[in-house]
Amino acid sequence: MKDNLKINLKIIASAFVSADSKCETLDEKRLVPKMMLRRRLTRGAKIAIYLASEVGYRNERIIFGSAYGEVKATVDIVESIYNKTLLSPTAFQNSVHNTPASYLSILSQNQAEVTTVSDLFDTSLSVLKTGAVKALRGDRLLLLNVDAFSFEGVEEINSCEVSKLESGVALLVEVTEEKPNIMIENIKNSEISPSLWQMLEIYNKSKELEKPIVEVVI
Amino acid sequence: MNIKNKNRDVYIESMSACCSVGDSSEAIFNATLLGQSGVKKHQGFLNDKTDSAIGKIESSRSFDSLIIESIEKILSESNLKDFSTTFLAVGTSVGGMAWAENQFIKDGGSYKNIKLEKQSIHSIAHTIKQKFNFKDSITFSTACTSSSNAIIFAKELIEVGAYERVLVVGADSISYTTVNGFNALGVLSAEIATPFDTNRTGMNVAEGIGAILLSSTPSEIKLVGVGCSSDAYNITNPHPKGEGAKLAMQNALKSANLNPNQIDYINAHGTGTVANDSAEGKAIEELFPHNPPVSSTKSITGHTLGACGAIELIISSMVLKEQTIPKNFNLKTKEIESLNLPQKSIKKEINFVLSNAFAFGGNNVSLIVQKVYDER
Amino acid sequence: MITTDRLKEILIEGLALEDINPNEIADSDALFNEGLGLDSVDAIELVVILDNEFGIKFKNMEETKAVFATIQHLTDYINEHKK
Repeated sequence: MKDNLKINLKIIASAFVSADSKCETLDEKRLVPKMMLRRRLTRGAKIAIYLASEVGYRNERIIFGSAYGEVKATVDIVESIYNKTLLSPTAFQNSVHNTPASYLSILSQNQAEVTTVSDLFDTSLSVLKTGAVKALRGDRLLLLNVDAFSFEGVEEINSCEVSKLESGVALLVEVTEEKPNIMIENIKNSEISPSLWQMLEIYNKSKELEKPIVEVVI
Repeated sequence: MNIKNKNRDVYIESMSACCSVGDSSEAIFNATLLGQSGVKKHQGFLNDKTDSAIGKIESSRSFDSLIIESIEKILSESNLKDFSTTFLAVGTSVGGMAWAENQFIKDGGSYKNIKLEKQSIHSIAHTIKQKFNFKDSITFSTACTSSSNAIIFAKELIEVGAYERVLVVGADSISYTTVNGFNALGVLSAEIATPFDTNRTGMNVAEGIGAILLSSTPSEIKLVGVGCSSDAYNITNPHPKGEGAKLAMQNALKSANLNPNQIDYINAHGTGTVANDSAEGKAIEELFPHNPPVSSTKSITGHTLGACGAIELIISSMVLKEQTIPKNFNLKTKEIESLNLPQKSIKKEINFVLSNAFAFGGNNVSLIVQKVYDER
Repeated sequence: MITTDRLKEILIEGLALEDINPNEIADSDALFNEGLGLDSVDAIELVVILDNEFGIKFKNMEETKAVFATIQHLTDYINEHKK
């Protein structure tokens, strides 16, 4: 039986944000000075842009993950379909899963590779594994995982009773041959959606280490 | 860290597809050669009850069971007993939205029965893993480049020796969201699309499934190059000069170590929208001055959204197998004079085919496949 | 009857325009390009808003060009055609 490939990622910088219903400190006016672009940003996009700035993002390739995607835009569309009203084109263009990563690449004029993954509660692991394999090229990568699912009716689907309806983690990473000092233990956090747990765990553990290096098992 | 066998070659071991024109790679390819479109007018999709031209799979079987069947075909044609050592890479932009829409309507506008495992992007992988045991899986979701990005990652996994085999499954079903959404953006046509035509009226939303088993074992078709880029321009419209498209194609050529003049045929993204075909046409014109034949097969299959990367790579592989280029069905008047857009299918020697997919948010992917001749 | 000020409020809210007050927009301001600087997606959004708020329908986007020329043009059109 073949051994799993293991890749070590140095955590150059990390950031985390969360809120019960709406993150208030996203600094969007400073980060997105052009109002005509800013007004269209989804909550997920604003969180992604804020987190990227917090980790000193400089147009690295982006691996973005979101378990639930653009919930508000999706809800608006489904309600339109149900009520047979005209669909908002903005809602549709904002409803695709890679919306936050796309807005970040547009804002920063980043022509590099941007990819989005989504695997419900395994989204953190999907982001980490995708990022780790792609990091073997030797460049730095921005790993993002964002959930923003505040909408009217959210209680009907919030079966895990997560209390933070907006949360996100960013990790700026680079592959390394050095030994890892962070192993993923799947530490739970009852306030945050399970889709963020592993990346949040890495964020928390990185804060305690001078040179945090996580082992990602492919 | 234990990286073994860096840069192993990647081949297509087997493939299987299903869309409005057939439930096999051969049937779909024949439809492209003969100009038999699966796009038909439907009244039931748009909110205002007007016509839309859609590529629906006419089958009594559910979309989910068609996915399972496509994978069963792959398993039966391979030497594998099961997929227990295989990685599953899914590409989808709709996920389980079609199911969720119907449930929401059935429940009178309530979310109470919307189960995330069935609604989410992950639902395709979830359905597949209920039936088959894969070592692991990741789902890619970047709108119309979803399965293209899954293919890129699959290649990377094999190249670095993480896996011997990766099954890529691109799957998107028709949903009210996508039909009404593209209509809201003014790009949906009520007729069969006419990509690259001066008088083109837009795209046709379609559904489809493309399954490709990639492996390090040599075969007739090699996945020799992959390239991607971002437009960084606009959330819906591509860069008007096709800058991002050009960059993705250049990156694919670089990855394959090829010059542009070695490309024998381009299977374009060619959706039939004013914006895409103009940008893509310009990019191809600039990058390939030797004028290789270019065609879009979306006037036959419709635009299968997240599945198009996989389905059109399968069509491109069939081009290599059959040494025949599908015509631009329905094209009457070329918008870009200098583009070589055959209106009859052509049989000729073809060694390298480039296949494009471009998505919302300016996500661009180009893939290159090569015909491998038996060197024994 | 709606006033140009009411239309400005509808545009600000419906198109999510930020940091702009109705009194900063002139009645003679163009909606697209110079003036408010709206884009093609806004044009479509506006068609949706006019249908939902006033029951006004357009056959295609071509019809909207003259109507959407300025704030005053659009206000007049709404008052002539609203249900």
